[in-house]
Amino acid sequence: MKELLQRLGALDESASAALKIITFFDTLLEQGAGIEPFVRGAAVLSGFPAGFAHPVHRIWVRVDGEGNRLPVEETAEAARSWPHKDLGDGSGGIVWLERPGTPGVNDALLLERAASGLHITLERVSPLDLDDAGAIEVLLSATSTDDARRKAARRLRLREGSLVKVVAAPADAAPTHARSAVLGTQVGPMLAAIVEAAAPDPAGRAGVGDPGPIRELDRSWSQAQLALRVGSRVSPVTHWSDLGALGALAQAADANPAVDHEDLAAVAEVMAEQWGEDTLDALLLTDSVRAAAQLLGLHHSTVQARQAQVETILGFRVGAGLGRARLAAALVLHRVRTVRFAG
Amino acid sequence: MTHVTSSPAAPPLDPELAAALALQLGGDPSPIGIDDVAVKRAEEAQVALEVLEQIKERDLVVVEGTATSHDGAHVPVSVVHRKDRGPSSPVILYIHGGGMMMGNRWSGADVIFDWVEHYNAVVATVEYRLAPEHPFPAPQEDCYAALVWLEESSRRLGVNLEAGLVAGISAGAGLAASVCLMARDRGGPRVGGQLLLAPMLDDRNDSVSARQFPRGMWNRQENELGWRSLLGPLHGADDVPYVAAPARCADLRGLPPAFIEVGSAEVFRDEAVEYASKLWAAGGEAELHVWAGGFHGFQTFDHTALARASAGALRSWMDRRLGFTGRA
Repeated sequence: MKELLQRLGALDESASAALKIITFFDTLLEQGAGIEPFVRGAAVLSGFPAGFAHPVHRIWVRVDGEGNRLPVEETAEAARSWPHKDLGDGSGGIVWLERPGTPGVNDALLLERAASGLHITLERVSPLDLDDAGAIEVLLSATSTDDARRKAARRLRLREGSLVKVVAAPADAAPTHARSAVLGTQVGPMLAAIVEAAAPDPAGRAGVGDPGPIRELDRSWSQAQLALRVGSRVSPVTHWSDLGALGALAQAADANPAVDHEDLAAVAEVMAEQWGEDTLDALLLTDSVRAAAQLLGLHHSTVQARQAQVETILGFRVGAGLGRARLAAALVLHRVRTVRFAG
Repeated sequence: MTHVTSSPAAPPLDPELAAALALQLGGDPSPIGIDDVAVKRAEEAQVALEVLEQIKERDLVVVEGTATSHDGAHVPVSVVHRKDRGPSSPVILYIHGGGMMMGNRWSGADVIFDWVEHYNAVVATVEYRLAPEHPFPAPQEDCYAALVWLEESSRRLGVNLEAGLVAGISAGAGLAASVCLMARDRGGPRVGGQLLLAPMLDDRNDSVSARQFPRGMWNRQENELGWRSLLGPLHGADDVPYVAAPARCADLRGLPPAFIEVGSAEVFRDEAVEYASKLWAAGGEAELHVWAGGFHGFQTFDHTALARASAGALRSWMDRRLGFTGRA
């Protein structure tokens, strides 16, 4: 084995040696090897001693070309006279190769692969400098790197490959999920919870984003926010997946505040009535005045009178057909425009 | 799920070993077929010449002997030791591996050198005849003949076989186990221990571990070929003698203490574990090491942490078995 590995040194003009180096370190990484195998790999592949110093983690490893541990000075400085590679994360970690004379053709690649593998492995094995709220924020942000997401998921003990979704609730709601935090949004603070795809709906007001892989939680979060914004007292839990094209409409309105229509002013006028919002919701959620009245706990003649009043203000019928769709769209646009959350 | 093959989920390889394997083989090795045997043997003959060169460079002594097998065949045995070997130098009968079909007495010579250097041992290595040209019982009888020859030559060689070891790797470990059973049954020479490294013990080739490794280093197909070659018409029979396949032996009483090691990721895992259990059940002694993520032959990747741990465990057992730690 030793002989075979060290023959890489003689072969290092060839591209196949480079490919072998990459395969070797990729395999270590895939299989979750520890720190020392990366250093030993660099040493055994080159046939010369290799070392790794990381002052922050207080790790000092030095290995000879046969893979035996060597004594090591506890400083990263001496390493700089050899071909070396910094970990590149500002940590001061450095990996080096003690090849005297002319560097090998593949030394740079070897050090680069070893350094990258060591960096990822250290991230994997170290405790995280991140609290749960911070981790939730990282996962829900659209701009987080994959590295940061992995770390945050680990902090929250979210298994790789699990299907999750975000539930948004008003900031003053009682947190019912372990992985929740109050985050600021452009419409005020909300309680964001990361839950399993199959988690049941919470009690109280909530918006539920689509389930998906961990790396797509940011999308689920923006869906959950909009879903919460278009929900109401009568219909407290809104699933993004139930909104269909109304969701797209909400997104468009959210992105473009200039979107307007005279229906919105009319809806605002209805909403100004104390009974207005509940009535509009009840009419949209049910198929008849009788059912709407039942939902609201009112006599159906009361609701019938209110419907007539609503239709006068709006200027169109809301009981069926296009009128219902028109009301639904206007209500979504109105809420996207007006609903705000207080701390 | 649309898996066509139905091999059960298998333990993963040790990361460092997986990386070394990927580097050496660049993928899945194609299984050894009967047509590859001649090529392999020729390669091994070439390696043997290099080993003989190393013996010269190391300035070691080689005494050539000849054992006589049950059918009168002459079986070469080479005895290797340092020039400064002493009267208490331990004796080890070494039996090479190669699936019963391949290898020669210089295959795996690294362990011979290690024992000669570290324990100042006297190592006898036997050139048993190979299947399929020479099926059972030729390999087993040849190895047993070497043990008998060692006992007969012990005064001349200046060794105490009763304190010595029978050792083998892979098929050689299976043969070592057979030799110990034969010695027990026939009232033959007694030894101080049996060293069974990744032993090939069970011709049925149908344990969970056998089914877990249809591919890889010494996989189920190759194992099948080895047993078929050794057993010839007996292969697949219900009454394969336990001298051919020690896993078939129900009664493991009266055997020397064993060191058994195997990887968790190899065909031989379950038969090795079972053999150790049966030795204990019979009131015998066994030290069993199952190395997590080790494939067959992982010990040759000697830069890895797992191979080092394995070498350390073996040395520790030999220190205890031979009654002294290594000498310079």
